[in-house]
Amino acid sequence: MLPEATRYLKATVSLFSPNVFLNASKLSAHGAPSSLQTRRNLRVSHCFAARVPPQKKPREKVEIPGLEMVTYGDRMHYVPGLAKPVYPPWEMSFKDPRYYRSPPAQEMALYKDKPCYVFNQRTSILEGVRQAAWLTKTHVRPGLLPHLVSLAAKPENQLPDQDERVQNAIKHSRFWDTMEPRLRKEKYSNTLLLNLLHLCATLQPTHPAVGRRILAENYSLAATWKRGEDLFQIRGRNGLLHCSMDPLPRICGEQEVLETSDQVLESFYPVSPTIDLQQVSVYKEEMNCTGFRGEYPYPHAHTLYFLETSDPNCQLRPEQFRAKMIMFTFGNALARAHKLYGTQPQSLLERPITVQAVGTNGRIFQFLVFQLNTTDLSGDDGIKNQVHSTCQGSQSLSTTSYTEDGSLVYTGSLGTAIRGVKIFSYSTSGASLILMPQILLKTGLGMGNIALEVISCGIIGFFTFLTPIILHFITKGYVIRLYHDPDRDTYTAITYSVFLTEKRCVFHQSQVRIPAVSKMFANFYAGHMGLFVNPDLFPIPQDYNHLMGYDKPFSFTKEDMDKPDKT
Amino acid sequence: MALSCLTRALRSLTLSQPALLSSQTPVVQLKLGTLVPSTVSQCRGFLTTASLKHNRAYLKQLDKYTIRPIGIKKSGGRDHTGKIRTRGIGGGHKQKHRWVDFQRLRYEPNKEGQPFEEKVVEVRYDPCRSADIALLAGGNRKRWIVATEKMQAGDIIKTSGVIGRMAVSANEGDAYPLGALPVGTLVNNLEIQPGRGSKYIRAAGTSGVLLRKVNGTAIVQLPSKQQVQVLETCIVTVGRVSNIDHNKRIIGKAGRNRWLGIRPSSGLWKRKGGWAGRKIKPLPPMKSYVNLPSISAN
Repeated sequence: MLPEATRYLKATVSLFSPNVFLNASKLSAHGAPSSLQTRRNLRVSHCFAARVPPQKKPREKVEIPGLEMVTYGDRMHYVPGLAKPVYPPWEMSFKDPRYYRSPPAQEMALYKDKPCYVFNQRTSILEGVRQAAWLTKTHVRPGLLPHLVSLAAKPENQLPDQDERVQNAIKHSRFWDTMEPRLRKEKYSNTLLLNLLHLCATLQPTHPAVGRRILAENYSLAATWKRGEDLFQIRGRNGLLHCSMDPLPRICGEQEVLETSDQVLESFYPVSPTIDLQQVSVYKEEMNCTGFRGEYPYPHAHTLYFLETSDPNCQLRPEQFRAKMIMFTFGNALARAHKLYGTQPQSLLERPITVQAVGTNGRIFQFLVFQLNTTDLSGDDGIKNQVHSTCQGSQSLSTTSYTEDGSLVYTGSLGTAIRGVKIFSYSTSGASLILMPQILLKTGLGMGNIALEVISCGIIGFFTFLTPIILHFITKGYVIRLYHDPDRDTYTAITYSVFLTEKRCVFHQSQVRIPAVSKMFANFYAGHMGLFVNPDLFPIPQDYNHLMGYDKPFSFTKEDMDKPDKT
Repeated sequence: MALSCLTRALRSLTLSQPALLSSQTPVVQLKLGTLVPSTVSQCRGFLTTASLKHNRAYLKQLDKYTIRPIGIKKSGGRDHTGKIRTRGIGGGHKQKHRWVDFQRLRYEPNKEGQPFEEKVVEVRYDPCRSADIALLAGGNRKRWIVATEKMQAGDIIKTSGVIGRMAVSANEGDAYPLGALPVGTLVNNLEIQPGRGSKYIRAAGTSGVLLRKVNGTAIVQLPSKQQVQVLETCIVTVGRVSNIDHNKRIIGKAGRNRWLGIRPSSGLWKRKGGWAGRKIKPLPPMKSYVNLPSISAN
């Protein structure tokens, strides 16, 4: 008995010794599929491990219907030769939300064969504003309407010391009170938006309509509509909403609304308009919800406020951000329209629904106004909705003045001095020319010799004429103001002409040529004209670098060295 | 002592669920990926905090196509045993893998059979290959493909599987079957079996030439001057692969090679290498990937 016991012992000890081999392929750990698990040899180190032959596939289990397998389930222990019993998966007898497994999509109650395309707050659509316009059957017009823009310019709509208060708001939002080198975007953009909203709200005593609005956050919007053969939905939370008791008045007259039926929506073949939208098969049809239940005292959506999120998975580029703004304003308007007029598509709403939106990234603000004219969105023709937005030229809180020449980048400090000197010189020359003959006649310095007279007059007159000419020659290249048009990369330089009028010279950046030998009174040549600028007077040094071409890449290759003109 | 050993061993033989291993039994935690043939049939498994599966093949397990870049683990030239299989690979900048769709003629689920067009959204650098890749958007989907020489953002690219009677005058970047192209066109991304995806002529600046079309098959010359015979329904892209100046680039310093993940080679002079000097060899015979029926059928 003892030798047998020792033999058994040896076998079992060797089985359970630390250097035991594990066949983990039969057992699955943590729900991982067992077929993918490796077999580990803990006995030897990797250097001595040989190449492994590929794993043999386990024998296929053949199910013969009608034939009952004899299992060892009844015997409660493994018996070699009998089949492994298969038990039905255990289900909990009660419903526990922590351990709920949802059924596959096909078995859900709301499953439908036809998919629905959903736009949520994280969607970034490829074609941007064009795609949003097609999806919402909207005609996009750049630029806000003048009567809206003029509202801001009226003095009764402005705050007392408005500029200072706005600058205080900016300073407060950009106050650096963190340990990080830069402020985080969600912090400063949120603070800035709320500060500016507060400033607008201080106008309440003079504008009682401000008191009939309230801010709402994190409301869930849902709107459904059909476009062609496809069903679309907007779902999600866009952020901050100003809702009011009264609806906004319409911004476009009836004539313009009827004219939109002539406009054609932009197509972007070969990309389909449903690209980047989330496709769902389980959805509720006719899902329309403004975000508020029952009789909410502020039912009309007035203005939406969009902030850029810091979520790394949904970084929206400016085009996609504008598209998101359009889609969510449309969603709010549509949900309201469905509530008022029912879900049947109507080709022309007698009272169009207007919603505004403001989008910001903390520095640049974009405004748009959306007017919902129709809920009949299935066809591409007919009356369309309208959007006026500051797409192309978004307003930024900057102080550079903008004229049609571009933005001002340089002002010469000696401009007025030059003008003064020139005026002085011309006036003295003129005066001396006028007074000289009279003085000569009066004082009788005219000698008998006409030649001497002529010579003396000539000498005096020479300097009288020479000084203005030399002065003009020196100062004709002095740039008074320099404007830069970034879109076309052209500069407009303003100088004084002979007669002290402002002369503009428009040139492209590529025409700027720096002479190899530095000339007096001219920094660079623009075409043929020599111009002089003081580099220290550029408020933004980058502008000077860009003007002179110093920010172009420099190459030390032989061809470029031989051509010194190419700077 | 013997009894405790016996009970412990017998416990290991039961088919209970694997439990966390206690600290009593010292276990040598080996490098993952070590595989050895088993000698013992039954053993109780145990769980560890590290995953038992060495998940190097994450890329190969994905089934749904995505354009999102996927992180990859560097192999360092090591194979599944842990030994170096290929010398000179290691280190280098981290790279994310962009899943390139090599099967150009891939129809959308509901639109089989018709030629379709796609728009190039952007052309960008790919760290995993010498050529540039282009993001194509068409219909409801977006995918990456190997870009051709003059492809730019905004181009419209056509893919067709139809072989007409007359040869098509193909624009650069379009994809057609070999039978539809005129003889002498420069092609790239060659499939050798229709529908399997392109495997040849994908490197930067390369292009093959369609030499001739012989009843139902086409003969293409690869960049190595080797000729292959493939079925004429295999899809190819027209033009040269992008980044044509790739072979003219100068590395400049050893560090740049290390950034690319190339480790220094051994400096030892080996007599019998046979690598130096010009080689003049006859061209290998033409490789045929067409299964022609055998003449003698017994």
